[in-house]
Amino acid sequence: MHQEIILAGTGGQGIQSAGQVLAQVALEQGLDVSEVSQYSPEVRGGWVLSTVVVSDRRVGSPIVQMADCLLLMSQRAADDNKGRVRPGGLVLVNSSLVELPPIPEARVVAVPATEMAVELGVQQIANMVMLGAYCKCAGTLDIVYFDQALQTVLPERHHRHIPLNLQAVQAGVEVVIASGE
Amino acid sequence: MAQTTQTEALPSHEEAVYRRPAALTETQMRYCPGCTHGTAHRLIAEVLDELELTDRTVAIATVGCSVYAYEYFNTDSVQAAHGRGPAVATGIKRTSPDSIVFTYQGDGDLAAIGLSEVIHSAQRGECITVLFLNNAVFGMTRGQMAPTTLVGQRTTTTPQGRDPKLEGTPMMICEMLSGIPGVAYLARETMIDPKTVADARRSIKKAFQAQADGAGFSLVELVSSCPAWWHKSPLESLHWIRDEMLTQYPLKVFVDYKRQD
Amino acid sequence: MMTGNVATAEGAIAAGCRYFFGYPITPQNDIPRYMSEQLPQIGGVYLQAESELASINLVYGAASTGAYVMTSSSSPGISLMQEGLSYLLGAELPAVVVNMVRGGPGLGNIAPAQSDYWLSTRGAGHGDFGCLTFTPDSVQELYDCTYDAFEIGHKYRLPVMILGDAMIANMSEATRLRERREPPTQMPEWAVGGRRNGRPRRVVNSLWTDVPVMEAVNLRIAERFRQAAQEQTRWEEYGDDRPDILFTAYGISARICKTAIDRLADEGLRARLLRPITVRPFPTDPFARWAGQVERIVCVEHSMGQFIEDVRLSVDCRPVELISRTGGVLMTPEEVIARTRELIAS
Repeated sequence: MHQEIILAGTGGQGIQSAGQVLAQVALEQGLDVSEVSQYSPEVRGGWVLSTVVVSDRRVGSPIVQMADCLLLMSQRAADDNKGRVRPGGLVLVNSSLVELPPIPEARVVAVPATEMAVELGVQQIANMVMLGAYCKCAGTLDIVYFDQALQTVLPERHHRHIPLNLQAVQAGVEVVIASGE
Repeated sequence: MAQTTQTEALPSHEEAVYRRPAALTETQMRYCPGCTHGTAHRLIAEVLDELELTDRTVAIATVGCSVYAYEYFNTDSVQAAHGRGPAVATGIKRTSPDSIVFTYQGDGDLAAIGLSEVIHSAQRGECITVLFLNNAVFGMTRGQMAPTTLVGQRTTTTPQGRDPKLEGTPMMICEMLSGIPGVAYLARETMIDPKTVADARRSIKKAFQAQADGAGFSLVELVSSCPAWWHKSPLESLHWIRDEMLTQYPLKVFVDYKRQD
Repeated sequence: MMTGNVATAEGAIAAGCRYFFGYPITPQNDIPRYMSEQLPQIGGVYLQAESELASINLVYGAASTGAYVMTSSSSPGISLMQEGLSYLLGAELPAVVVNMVRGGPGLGNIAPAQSDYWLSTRGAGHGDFGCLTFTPDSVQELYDCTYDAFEIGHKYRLPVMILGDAMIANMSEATRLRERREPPTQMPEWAVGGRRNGRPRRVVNSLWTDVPVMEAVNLRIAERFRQAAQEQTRWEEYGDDRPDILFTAYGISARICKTAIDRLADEGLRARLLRPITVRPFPTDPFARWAGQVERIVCVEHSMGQFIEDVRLSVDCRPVELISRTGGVLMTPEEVIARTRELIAS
């Protein structure tokens, strides 16, 4: 098993946290993992990328040109990165914020993540909705590991939000099931 | 060795009134005749002995004529890069807080290349002592202009005299540092006659006392001579300090440390 | 999971380092952040200096007391530290200096680069010079190399550089931590701090105007370096046991090569990676061993051809080909594969 995932969005969308949670989930599952976050120089509102490589062998290059899976959280992230998926790859789009023309040779799944997050109470957990949807679509990572992963990655003062984050993950799984994808 | 023999030979009823302080080694100093570095070294050494600090002291030799200070002070010593004495002293003080740490810096080392280090050490209230020898000229590199060179003073690199329009005005280190809250003791002294030597010794003692008491940063500027690059005799040099240097650099205790006990 | 920066800082603390002096510069700011949070809690000292000139001289002062001390910076800051590095070496003081390299020259950018190879291995200061240099390629190895660097530095009385880059500094990977060690209680016989209990005074110095003495000091340092080369040279080999191509790379470039080698193997091309973990001392022996057994030697680096010089000096005059990018541009495994194919075709 070897999978390369790029999460792309805008500052404030929790892209880096999502990348780290996903990496920790892989780690909890016994896989090797490397996560790299990159961002534009502006402190607020710039672009953010998190690249996660998970593998059942030692991860070689943490640098990815074409990913197996793209998670596009904002319009700018989608415009800049929509070409970075391998043929036959998976693209998850936050359809609340992103309009995306179909990508040939890729499986595109629309997830209204921001709207679902608002319904759950907090816009900031749209990232977790997307991770839940990713796990369901890709089938490589098991959502049972999210609880432990969130406890490890989130600072202790945010641990009271873990149940809500888990709800968001679950909602992501369910929206994929409901869509019949 | 000769001195030891001499001391031993003294008749028992006589009291030695003048001997080498224990805080100085027996190494022959390399300073020019008439230079006040020798006096300054002796005053520091006397104070360290008197305050019983010699065995706790680390001396920082810097770059300039006093680069060999580590051979003269009979203490642990560290030779520092040009201008970086206060940073090195801080590194030692922070890892070895029981030590007494002082830097011995000339005007090139402190006021030119090392200005940033001395100001920031003062700003942090670093418990170190700085002895700042100001003789208005770069000595070791053969008499170039220093930041403290007087207006009109001829040096190797101001052959027509320092022109304030071209080279600016003399840098007043004590005045610059005097407003910094971390400074516990700050004074400008000289060593041109018995009275000023006694005053200088008192200020040096207060500066080290401030450090020993953990009161903060202390600095004593010593307005000094350079007969070689002033092109004057030793006596003329002392007169030039009195008549010219002290006009620009008035003697003053800027910050007087008061013991908290 | 932790970032390379945090692993570096934690490795230092675990080794017993309790003193850190630094000045802010991207991309290594997580090291001082972590140190400023941790050190005061365990009896250590974190101090933000007014410049890198001050940082390295704070390190010099702390090192002269025999303490385990560290600073970290990135390329432009390391340029400013070169003077202090030279003084550390001249005064025979150990200290650990981390360089998370960014694109240059000049102000450059904050992207990952390997263009300070010469700075570390040739020019880390004036004078006859050689600090030990580690080139880790993973977060785990950053932790391990930094952990080892203090003891090694003290053993040979040499400054030690950890040569990373903006990528390994900021990537997160699983890291096995060792138990935090207390700082050494026995101070070395050269450490200053006041001649307590009447011991003879000690002097830390790099000024030797008597030239034969200076030569003797340099030979003494060189001898310790030679000993370190015998005992501390590290490298890793990866890939095919009977390769046609020998890749060589260090740090992040080596990680990219590992994936490239795996994919080339799928395409039926036999390749092996020889990765120095120390570049000073340089692992010349394995290079000499493999040089005669492969059809081509390919050096992959993120600089204009710096590392390749040491490779060429180690392969018995065999030709060495270069695949490189510069200015902070990172190669992907796909690019390395494509350019390797071009070399084969030409």
